[in-house]
Amino acid sequence: MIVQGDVFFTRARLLPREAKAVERTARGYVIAEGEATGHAHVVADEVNLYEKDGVLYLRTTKTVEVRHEEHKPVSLQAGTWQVGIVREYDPFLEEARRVED
Amino acid sequence: MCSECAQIAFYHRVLMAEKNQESFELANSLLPYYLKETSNLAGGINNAKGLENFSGYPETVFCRLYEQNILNGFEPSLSKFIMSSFDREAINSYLEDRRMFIGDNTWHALGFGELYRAEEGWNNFVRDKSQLINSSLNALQPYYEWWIDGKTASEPTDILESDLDRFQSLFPILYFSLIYLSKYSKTSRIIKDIALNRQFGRTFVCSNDSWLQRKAFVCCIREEGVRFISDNVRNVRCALIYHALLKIDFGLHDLQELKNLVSGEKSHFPVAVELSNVSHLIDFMILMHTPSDLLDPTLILKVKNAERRKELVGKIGIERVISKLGGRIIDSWNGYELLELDIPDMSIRPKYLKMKNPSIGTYHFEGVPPEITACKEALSWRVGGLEWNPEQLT
Repeated sequence: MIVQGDVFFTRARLLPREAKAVERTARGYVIAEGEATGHAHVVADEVNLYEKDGVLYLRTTKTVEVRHEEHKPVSLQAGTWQVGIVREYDPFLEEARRVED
Repeated sequence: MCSECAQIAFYHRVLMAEKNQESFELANSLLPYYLKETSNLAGGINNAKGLENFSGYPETVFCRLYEQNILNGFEPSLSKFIMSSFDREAINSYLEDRRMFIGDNTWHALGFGELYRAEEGWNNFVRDKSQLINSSLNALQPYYEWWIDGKTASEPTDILESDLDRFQSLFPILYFSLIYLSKYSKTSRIIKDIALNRQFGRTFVCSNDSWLQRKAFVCCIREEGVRFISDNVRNVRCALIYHALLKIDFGLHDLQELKNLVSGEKSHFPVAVELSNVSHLIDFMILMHTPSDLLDPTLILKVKNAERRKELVGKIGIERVISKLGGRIIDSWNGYELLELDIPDMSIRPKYLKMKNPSIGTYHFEGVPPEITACKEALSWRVGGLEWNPEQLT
């Protein structure tokens, strides 16, 4: 597992069927973008990025770097990678949801 | 809490959920109130369509459609969507009831499909503003004299079933009229009369009465500001202030004035519980208007309502809350700390994982479920249950 802030990459053996290609943007391939800050995890090199059921998959034939404004780069070796976003629990929200007043 | 305040409290929860793009559960029992008050009519219908009781509310939805059309102009897609949201029989029954109306012929137009199918049909109907203003006044004035001033002076049991039928068949016209006047004749006395009638609280037999009153009240506040309440404080129902607090974006000055009114005029409000709800909401809204860096994080200990506590934590920031409240370290591992907060009246003890960004050296906190007891367990949960053993971590 390779972790950069709130994004983590795990090796995937296969690319899911019917995964759709994600277009490159002016910034490169955007893996995840912060809503508040505008900071993003981005691959500037040429890779193939796919999406299936809200999950991104990155396929590369060479080692590439993922960059982010507040984290040092991480490198992904050739292969297929599944992109994960870390989850967080909001105790106050969960409590608010449970309240029945 | 009175049933109306309970519904308003539910609506507050829905408002917050919509604002934060969170899901919420809509029950059949809350459906009428939701359809009456949702700020996004099409989205609200979508949320409500799956409920068993939805098919029973074409009248409410048509009233909301009139409101949208009067305030924002005819929207063909919304009309089409509404017409397709109910079965044909329900639509025809609604339209037929409008055509059967005995009285001002102006209102028969509400019973014909052309009014809802094309912009031209709607525009033809609303072309003559002065006539519609007169018709609206002529609809609301007898309603007030007959239904409010006359019948509701007695006990609800004195209202005959035929009276109730008459009121229900009249209601879409009353709603249209009130919204129309609120747009084109805002200073009409009848709007104030409806807004200020205190008898609703004791004797209303139909929730449409209080719906109409809520609309009238908000219209008066928008027109006159908080002064409308201070000038009429003895005749204002407390639930209406509660409602207005959610519908109108009051500034800090207005909130402070409202606070003074509520705390200074306690004897004029009939139900202490209602007053307490309103007072707490005003206090909370004043807090939410205060710049976050001026807020003391320990305030969250004083807020008992879970919804509001959540909002306040969001505003203050969990980092400041934890820094101020401390938190007990229940596990440490490899530079990580698992902290537990003890907040009185909370059903769980919130847990946070304190971690360092190894790239820039800053610390931050992330919430983890209450059953987690160790840092490694928290880290694994964070990545969906995978083993926490990163080859690279930045």
